Amino acid sequence: MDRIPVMPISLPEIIKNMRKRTNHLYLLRSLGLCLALFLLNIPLWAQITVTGIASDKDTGEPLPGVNILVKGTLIGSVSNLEGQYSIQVADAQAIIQFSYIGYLTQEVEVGNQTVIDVALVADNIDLEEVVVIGYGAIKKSDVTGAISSIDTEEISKMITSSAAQALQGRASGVQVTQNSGSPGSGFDIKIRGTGTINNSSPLFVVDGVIVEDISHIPPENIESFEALKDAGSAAIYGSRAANGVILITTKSGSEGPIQVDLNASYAWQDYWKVIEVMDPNEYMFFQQMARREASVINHGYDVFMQDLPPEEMWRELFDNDPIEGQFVGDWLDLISQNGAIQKYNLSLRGGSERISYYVSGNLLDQKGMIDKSTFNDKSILSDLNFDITDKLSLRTNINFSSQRQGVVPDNTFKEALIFSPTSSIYEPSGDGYLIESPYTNVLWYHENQRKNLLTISLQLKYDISKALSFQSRAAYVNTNRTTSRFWEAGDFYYFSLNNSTTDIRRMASYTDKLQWENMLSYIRDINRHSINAVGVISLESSSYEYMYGKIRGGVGNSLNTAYLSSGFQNLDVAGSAKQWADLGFVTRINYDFDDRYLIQVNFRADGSSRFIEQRWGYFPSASLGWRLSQENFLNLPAWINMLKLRGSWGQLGNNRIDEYGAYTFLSSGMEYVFGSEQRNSLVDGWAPLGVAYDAIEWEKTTTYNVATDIGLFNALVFNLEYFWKYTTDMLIQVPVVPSTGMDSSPFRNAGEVENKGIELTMNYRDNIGKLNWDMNLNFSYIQNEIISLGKRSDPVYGPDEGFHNSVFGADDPYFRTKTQVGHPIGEFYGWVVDDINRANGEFDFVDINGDGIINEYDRTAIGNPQPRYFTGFNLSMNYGGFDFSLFLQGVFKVDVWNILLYDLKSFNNTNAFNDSWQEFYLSSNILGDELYTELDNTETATLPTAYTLDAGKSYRPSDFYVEDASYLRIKNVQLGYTLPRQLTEKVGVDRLRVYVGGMNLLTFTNYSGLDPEVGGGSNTAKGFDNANYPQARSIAVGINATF
Amino acid sequence: MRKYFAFIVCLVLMAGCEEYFDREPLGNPVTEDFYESLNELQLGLNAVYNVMADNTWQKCEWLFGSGPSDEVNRCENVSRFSPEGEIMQLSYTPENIWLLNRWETNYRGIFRANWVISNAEKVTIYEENIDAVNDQLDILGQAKMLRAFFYFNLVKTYGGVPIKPEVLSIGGGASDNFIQPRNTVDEVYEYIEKDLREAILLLPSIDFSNAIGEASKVTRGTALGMLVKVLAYQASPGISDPRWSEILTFTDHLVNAVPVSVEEVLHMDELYPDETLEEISSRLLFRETLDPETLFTNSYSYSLSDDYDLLWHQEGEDVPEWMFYVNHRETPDGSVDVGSGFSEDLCGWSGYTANAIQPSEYLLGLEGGSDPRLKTSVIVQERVIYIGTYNGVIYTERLGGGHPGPTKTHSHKWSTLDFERPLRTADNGKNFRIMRFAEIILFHAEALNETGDPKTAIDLLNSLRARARKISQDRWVDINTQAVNDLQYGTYPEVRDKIWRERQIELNCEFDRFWDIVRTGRAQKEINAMNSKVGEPAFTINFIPGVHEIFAIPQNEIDLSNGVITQNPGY
Repeated sequence: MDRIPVMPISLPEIIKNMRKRTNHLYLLRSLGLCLALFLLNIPLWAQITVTGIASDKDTGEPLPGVNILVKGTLIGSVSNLEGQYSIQVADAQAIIQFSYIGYLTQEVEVGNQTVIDVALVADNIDLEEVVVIGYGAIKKSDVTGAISSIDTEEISKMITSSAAQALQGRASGVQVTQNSGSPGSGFDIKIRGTGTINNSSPLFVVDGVIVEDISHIPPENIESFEALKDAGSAAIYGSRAANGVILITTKSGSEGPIQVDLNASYAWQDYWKVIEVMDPNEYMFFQQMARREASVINHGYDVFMQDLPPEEMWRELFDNDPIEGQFVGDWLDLISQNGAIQKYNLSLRGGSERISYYVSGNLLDQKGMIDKSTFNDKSILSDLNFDITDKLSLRTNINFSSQRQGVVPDNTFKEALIFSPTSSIYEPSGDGYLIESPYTNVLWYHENQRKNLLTISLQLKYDISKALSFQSRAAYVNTNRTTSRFWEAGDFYYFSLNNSTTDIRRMASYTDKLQWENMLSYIRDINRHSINAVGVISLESSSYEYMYGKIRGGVGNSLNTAYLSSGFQNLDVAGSAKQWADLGFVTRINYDFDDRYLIQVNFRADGSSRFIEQRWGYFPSASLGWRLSQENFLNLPAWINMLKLRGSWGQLGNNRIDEYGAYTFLSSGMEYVFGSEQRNSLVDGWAPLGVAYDAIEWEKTTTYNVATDIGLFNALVFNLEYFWKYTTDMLIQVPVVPSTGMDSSPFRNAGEVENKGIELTMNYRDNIGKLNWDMNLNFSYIQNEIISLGKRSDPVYGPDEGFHNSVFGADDPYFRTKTQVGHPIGEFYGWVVDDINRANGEFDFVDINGDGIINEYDRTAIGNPQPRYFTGFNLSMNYGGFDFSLFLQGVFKVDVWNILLYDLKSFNNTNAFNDSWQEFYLSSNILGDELYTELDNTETATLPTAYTLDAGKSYRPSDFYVEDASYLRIKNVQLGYTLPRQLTEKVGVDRLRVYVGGMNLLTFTNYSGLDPEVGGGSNTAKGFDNANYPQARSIAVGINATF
Repeated sequence: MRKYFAFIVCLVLMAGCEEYFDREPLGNPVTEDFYESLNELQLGLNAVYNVMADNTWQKCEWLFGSGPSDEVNRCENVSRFSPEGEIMQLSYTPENIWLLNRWETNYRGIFRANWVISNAEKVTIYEENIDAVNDQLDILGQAKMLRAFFYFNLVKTYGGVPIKPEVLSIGGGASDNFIQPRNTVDEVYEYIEKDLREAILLLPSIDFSNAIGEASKVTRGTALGMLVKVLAYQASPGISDPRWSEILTFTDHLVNAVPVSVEEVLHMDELYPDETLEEISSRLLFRETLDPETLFTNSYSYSLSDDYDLLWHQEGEDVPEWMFYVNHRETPDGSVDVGSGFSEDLCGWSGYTANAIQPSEYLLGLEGGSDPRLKTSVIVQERVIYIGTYNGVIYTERLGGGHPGPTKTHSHKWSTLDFERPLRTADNGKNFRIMRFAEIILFHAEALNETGDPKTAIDLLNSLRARARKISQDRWVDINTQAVNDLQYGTYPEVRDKIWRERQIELNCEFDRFWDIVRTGRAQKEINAMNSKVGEPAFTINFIPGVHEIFAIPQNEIDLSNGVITQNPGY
């Protein structure tokens, strides 16, 4: 052990203090302080001058730029290029602190010395950091499983309300996709691929409490943020950890005077990309061409426009008069506004010997880029810790968040892009009535979603002995969501009360969850043996209720009366409820010998009300680590600070399945009418849709993980992992013989999925003089494959909406994804375009099965919506009072189904076309007219002919619509300046930082849609871009102040 | 609180945990907790009826019953290469979706009926409450009658089909009874007969057509009628078969009100060799053992409606000729429309061109084509059938033209006249008809002829023909009701042919034709007769004797059964 910390800390203390500081934070804070002091280096009351040289203990080289501070005062200094320094202290009792990036801080009492030479010990980066692992924490150097820690300092620099968004690109193997750029939109988080066709979201644990999502946690409140990725680390959560675990610990109080932090920021938001559409003249010309063509192909459609003057043609085409200035042209512009986010965070932190507190209030208010899309998030967090006696402590944590979201219709962007540019806002009659248009879609539609989330957690801890302690934590989580939707009747000129289109809907759901955990932990070091063991009994229960009401024909257009009692017809109500209870027994033993050999064994038994016959699941895991760098016999060169090999194996479960999959329920709604024509009664009928299999059990995932951690030159840390994850007993509805008469097949444990991949993390820290920099790169590769889908391996088909025509009859809709054995989950499915038929201008498809006929059997896999590679890169630098950070995020080798192309390329009888039409469209060679000559490039056209009638087959699902949506995005850039303390002190501010920054400033992609990041959809229906709300580009300013 | 106590016990003993998990499933009821009251049993029964109100089920009735026969030869909106077209031309493969549709929907009915039948005894009722006791028997009887009907549909379509256990259970081992091998045709018919005979005992004899809120429920009369049909499908014409005299007994009961005894209904010696009457009574939830001598008298009040044409209109929905039908309903403003849309989907109406059931010109030309029953039920394109006023508006009813192509026809039985529909897009709740009294008369005639009384048989046929002459000419511009004459008496084979011809015309487009020509062994002959008249090879039917009497088992069933289910020969 050559690297002894200056202030030796035992592991229990580390755990106790883990929420107080990480080295990162500590270093940065002291660095900032020292820099401030350095600028303030005016000795006023000094009596003793101390000089000396600061050097590296191992090499003996002098260290320039070491921060020197008289502890408890504001007096500071910095070493010069030769490592020399000079500082004045008040008296002999003064303590001088030496700190330097990459080295452990040292403190020396002055006493009677006037020359103090210090040899600073290199800090083995990260190794002494503590990692939260669920039901405890361990030193990072002792980690044997695959755990990613997210840099909380960096994520708090992002202008976002959501911990989920902050996670994007920050950790290898963790893939975060925003459902859309809509303010307050949700996220899809996957750890190490899609493990099941069912819910593959990870488990979220905030301060030990299992929650549904983490969108309500402001990044500023997060103390530590971890992703548990392999079975070795996640097995502690057994039945629910198959898809990984996200652990968040929020900040807590610490002994000391009150510290007030205020963060405020404001950001302007705008589109980062616009799609050019035709102007009215181009549009008219193109429509004319397209319709002529259609009229030739479709018999009976009049060829009417050949010789008409422009105004006449206009009237024929658009049924209105071409009045100058009336056309909107750009509908998107009409409904867009300047987006803005303002964000405030205020926290109080401190405590006495017995009581410590952290209280924080947050407000985020966002105005989206489309009118009426808004998001407002208010939250408060209170964390109080009472040391009742030396052995007994109580911690209370209350977190309340209230989110309100104003939502625009899903199809807003698409409608705005494809709506006819020749249409006007008002009726041509001039009566001032609005025409139904993308403008009125937004104007007349009101949707508000509200989500309130309350978490209360009480934790009692009793130290039975020095090694043994008992903890009991009870938590209550209450989530309630309401959604209100209201369609105004609008002011159509034909509006009347009888024909009211007013539609009022209310949806509400309530979830109550209780969690109670009792934990016994034993931590002891005996000579070179170190043992850390925990045993937990965890009890969880939850109930859920949902209500829905819909009514039509309200009194009019006022939001004040948009409640259910205002309507009078088409009343529709619904409701449902669910409840479940889980019980788990957990043990974990960490043993390490001489800091060289590390062993961790987990075992968890979980029982759940979700299952009837196979109620219990058993989840073992084991992991091993070997710190080669601690072995003397290897004689590793000094520049290798760390070399560790580790591996793990384990089995995990997935409990995110239907609560009642094992029960046979009856369904209602099987109506019938009894009685004569004159006097009859409608009766309901009830019957089961199928017979459930009551012996279903957990989905199980077996994971192998091998990894190595390498630290070099005290600056570079490598982390390379390989994993193989195999899900068995996936719950799928295996088809049963039709003669059972069942409408739905029972769930059975049948499917198998494999995910394997490689993850690489690199961290490099260095300084050049006063310029400190820190680079972090993570990279992941994941391959997903379905191994089995039950006995007959029937494929699971994805959505078929969006295609209005069915050439092969209603019984064969065009499914767009096919999940089949030997392929990844949710693979795109359709025809492959061979070429454009030069005679009729339609696509010719490839005859896949070679039978000479192009039919439904020629469909094949045409794309994979799951990214194969994703990466994140973060650079942060500081120089003097300046700091800079840059964050890049990228996803590669991922396919997206661009539904917008159907409309923009106009095979689908829609109104607007992409601006690029002239170069690409193939016009039928039937047209010889000179007007169309330039479009008649039968040899060079790259797009099929544009019909306004569904005569062609170009709209069929094909690889034409599947695009590569790889992208690399500058997710966040920030430049900050911390004002000299002597200035801020005068107004009572300890530290004041101002910054400017931007998010999504640049996106590099070849994708032609609005945004390559396409979220939403179930696992078998991912990657469909219906012109989603794109991500915003923002420019931000802000301040961080500490009082 | 008990749950937390259980948790404490768990902590200490690691036992008693099960109670902690004992969470009642919320929301909809689970099967274990259902079927405990009469009301719940009735809800279960309603769901069985609901199967027949399903559009797919109803389409299968016409697609299989009429589709491949000589009375229908073309379907306007259905391509010859579509799955429907392949059924109609008998050129399908076992993957055909309609083979599966028919299989699935009928088995769905069986699945739902089985829940009612197997749970009927669970119902708690006060024995003193006679009404409740009778209701329980009634519900059990209806479920048995409907189950028999679904199996009958299956056996006549596919031959021997698997008889499913009343209680299905899934599991890894022997308890898994989802997959059952095929039973023989005889076994299935025996199962059907038992259900029907037991239903006759259980069901009340009242005629529900006039009882408020009860019409369209199946009754003892329905079960008797279905039993007659099931017996006839097993008996062969011209061959001495005890079933013919049994048919005669039941049709005599229905037509001439001759009483039948419990013994006659049950046919104990043949059908129940292993069960005593006491055991049967107890199984059927009778409180007292049945007396085999008890006689049922006819109180069904079934009769022929006066106007053949009117039967198919709004006024004809509740007449006592209907023995079995699926009730649809539509309110005048169209706000409530409980029906399958069958009539809208497949039969079209005047002014619209979409009509899928196209009676063949061969059917139209039968017996010189002047029979008013054919004239009123088959409408040819552009033929004006009605000119008149309704609510002050002058109507001209005609089948619209539109697309070029062969002359269109439609079955007027299944379409709704314009002025009868409340909305342009709806059908006024036109019922889906399954069986009527005229068919019993025809079976009665057939049984009489087979048992040596051709004279009375002819009298019965003439009663139907006399009714045909009563069609009101108000609606019709171009029919001659007197074109149908009384038939002359004749010998057995002459009368047999006359009965079959009468069935063909009287029951045209009532989805029985294909089964009729198969059961009487004339399928090839009749289809060839039509094929030779069609001219266009595209619209001929490819009937192969020895194969096409029954359809192929859906490939899906064979695949998913791992080969336990075998295919019919020839496919």
